[in-house]
Amino acid sequence: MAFTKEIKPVILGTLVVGVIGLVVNLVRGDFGFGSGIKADHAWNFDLPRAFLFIWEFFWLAAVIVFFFKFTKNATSEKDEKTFEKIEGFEPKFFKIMISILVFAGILTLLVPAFFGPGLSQYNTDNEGIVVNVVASQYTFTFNGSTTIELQVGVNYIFNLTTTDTTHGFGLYDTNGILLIQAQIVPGHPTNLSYTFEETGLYSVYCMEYCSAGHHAMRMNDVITVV
Amino acid sequence: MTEKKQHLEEAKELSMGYFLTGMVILLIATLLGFLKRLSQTGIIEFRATSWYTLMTLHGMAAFVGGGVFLCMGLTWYVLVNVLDKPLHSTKLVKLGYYIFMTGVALIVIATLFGNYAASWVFLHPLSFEAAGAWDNWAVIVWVLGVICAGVAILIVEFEVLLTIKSAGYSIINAVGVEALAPEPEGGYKTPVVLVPFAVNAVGMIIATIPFAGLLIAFLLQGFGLVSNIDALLAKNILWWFGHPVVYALLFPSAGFGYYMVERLTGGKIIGERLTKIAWFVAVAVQNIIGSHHVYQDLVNPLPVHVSQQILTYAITIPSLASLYVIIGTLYLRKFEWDISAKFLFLSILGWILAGLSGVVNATIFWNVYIHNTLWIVAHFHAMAILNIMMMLAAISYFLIRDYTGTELYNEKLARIGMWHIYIGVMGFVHMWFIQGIMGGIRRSMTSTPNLGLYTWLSIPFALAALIGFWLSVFVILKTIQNGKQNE
Ligand code: HEM
Ligand SMILES: [Cu+2]
Ligand SMILES: [Cu+2]
Repeated sequence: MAFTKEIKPVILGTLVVGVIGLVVNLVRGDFGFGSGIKADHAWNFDLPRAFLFIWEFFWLAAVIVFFFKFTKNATSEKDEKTFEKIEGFEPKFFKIMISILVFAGILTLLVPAFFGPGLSQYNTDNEGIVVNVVASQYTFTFNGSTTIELQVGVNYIFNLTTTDTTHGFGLYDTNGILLIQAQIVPGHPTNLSYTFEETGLYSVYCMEYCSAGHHAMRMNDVITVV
Repeated sequence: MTEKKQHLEEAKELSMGYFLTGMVILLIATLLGFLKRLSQTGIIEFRATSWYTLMTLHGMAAFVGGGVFLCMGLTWYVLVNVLDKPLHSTKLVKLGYYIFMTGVALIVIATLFGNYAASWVFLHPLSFEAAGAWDNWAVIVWVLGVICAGVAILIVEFEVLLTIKSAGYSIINAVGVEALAPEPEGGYKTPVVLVPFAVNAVGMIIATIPFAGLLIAFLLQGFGLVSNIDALLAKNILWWFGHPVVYALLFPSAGFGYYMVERLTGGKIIGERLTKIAWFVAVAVQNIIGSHHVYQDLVNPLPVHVSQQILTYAITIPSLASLYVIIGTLYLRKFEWDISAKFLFLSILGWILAGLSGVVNATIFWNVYIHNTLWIVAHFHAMAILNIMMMLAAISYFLIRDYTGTELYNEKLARIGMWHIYIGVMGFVHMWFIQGIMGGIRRSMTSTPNLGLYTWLSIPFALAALIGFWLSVFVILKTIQNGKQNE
């Protein structure tokens, strides 16, 4: 029997089980029509954020321009010279490619302090005041309580531990900008150092999926920096 | 029927079987994706356990069920066409299929019926720390399902290597080694199209072995026999496998790209030596870059972090080389802009975009801002759909026309479908990029505060993409039907 005929029941079976399962979930999941969350919106940009934004949309624009250029020229007959130019580029392409990669690799490893923690986030033996952060489904505590007051200009070592599964520690400022983050892996206490540069309220959000309440593990304005 | 025709027919039949199955899985998976996104706006609502269940199933089904499976299937068609020799064993190909589908069934049961929702990476010990969201039996069923998928991947990848070998080529040369020496008179022995398939097969076989150990440890814990798997070790092993499994989509897609370029232009691709050396780099490093997924696990040793950035930069070499040779060859030679050529070209553009966003992920000083944000989700959907699915669509339109011996049912409709998918996905992917840049957290049932607007804006785009998928499926099924009537 032809393979496509032979597997017909398998395909139909998969489809039926999948659809039944989906319906079961819709029913069991208190599925319904909601009121609609408000389409809240804010532009939260700082230097690294602006960089990423420009990076992504610059290339998008470049690709669109390339699309029109290429489709205009692609199907025409090319002369000998163009052939030589593009085919002869092969050995050069390799050299240029590797130079760019080496250059960019070194640059991004060595000068990160320009606007981010870079490799310095891996320094675990920094001097500083220890703050014990304990994550558990679905809250954080700071030195045993749900809020904490810290001081500007002091280096803090957040000692991150978890009582159940993997979580992530994401520190957000008042404007919703993600300042720094680290994973909290069971059995592997992690030191993350950070110095606040401005007073104000800071939030801590969980940065790793940790079961059904993950989206609720967002502690708004729990760190007050004075 | 002549001998030659016989083995081509056989391969097409097998590819078609894999293709149709993968298509059905993808259709369900994309529907789940849309429902999840819709529910993030609040237009519809799920209980949290259901949302995360759909997330877990969507990730596993779209990526491993649909993507990897489609790639494996279309590989038979291309391999046999290039080698002009029969497959090593059609029995193994069929066996791989049935084991894979067993895995799919188990995964559907574990998620939709068992509420298992630890996400497709199921970071240890989440499976056993569900806070009541699912039971132990669901974990066992899930792990058994993943084991089936792993076994099927092993079988199929061995079959790829055995087929290349039984056609008289050396595997060593097929992973690019021969290109370390300058091109001999009369050219290299191995067709360049074979190289990405061989590289992927070798890589997946190596990656699956440690992963199998991890899965067995999970099973043992599921049955209560062990309880002290180290979470960090488990995570590193998971990503050792989790990175190369992405290449089970990307590398075959590159192979499909080379094949189509040669078929469309009727000549060899330019830059064969460069391409092969680039793939040799890939085979050397593809299994040692998975830890670039754990840059924010500060407890991993520093040399690991630093080496991951350098090695991940190195793995861009095969992509850069592929882009150069595919674009260069298309530019220089004459070809017809048929539906496959159009999909191929759009796929190349998607590859450029997705790859450049990946450079950001790989760079440590940027990673801290986008790790586990929706930027990552944007990056891999760009890769999976704008690059890989477009490439798979291109090659499957070749397969379908070959298989049915007819032209497409309606080329214009296929084109409309294509633009719906491309523009739709481009749109919703960029909403994710924006949300990710601004700290929007991934794997979250609700939008991160202040980012709800972009969730709303992505809905029309996601709908357009779905319409595009359905139109394409309609054209494909109609074409098959027409082909049958012609017989
Ligand atoms: C119309 C098409 C699609 C839509 C609307 C869609 C939508 C989504 C959404 C809403 C998420 C959850 C993101 C989050 O908040 O973390 C997601 C995750 C994901 N999607 Fe898609 N998706 C589509 C197609 C695909 C395809 C074709 C693939 C792969 C071949 C794919 C692979 C994944 C994976 C691996 C995840 C991650 C799941 C996890 O975090 O565990 N998606 N998708
Ligand atoms: Cu969480
Ligand atoms: Cu990776």
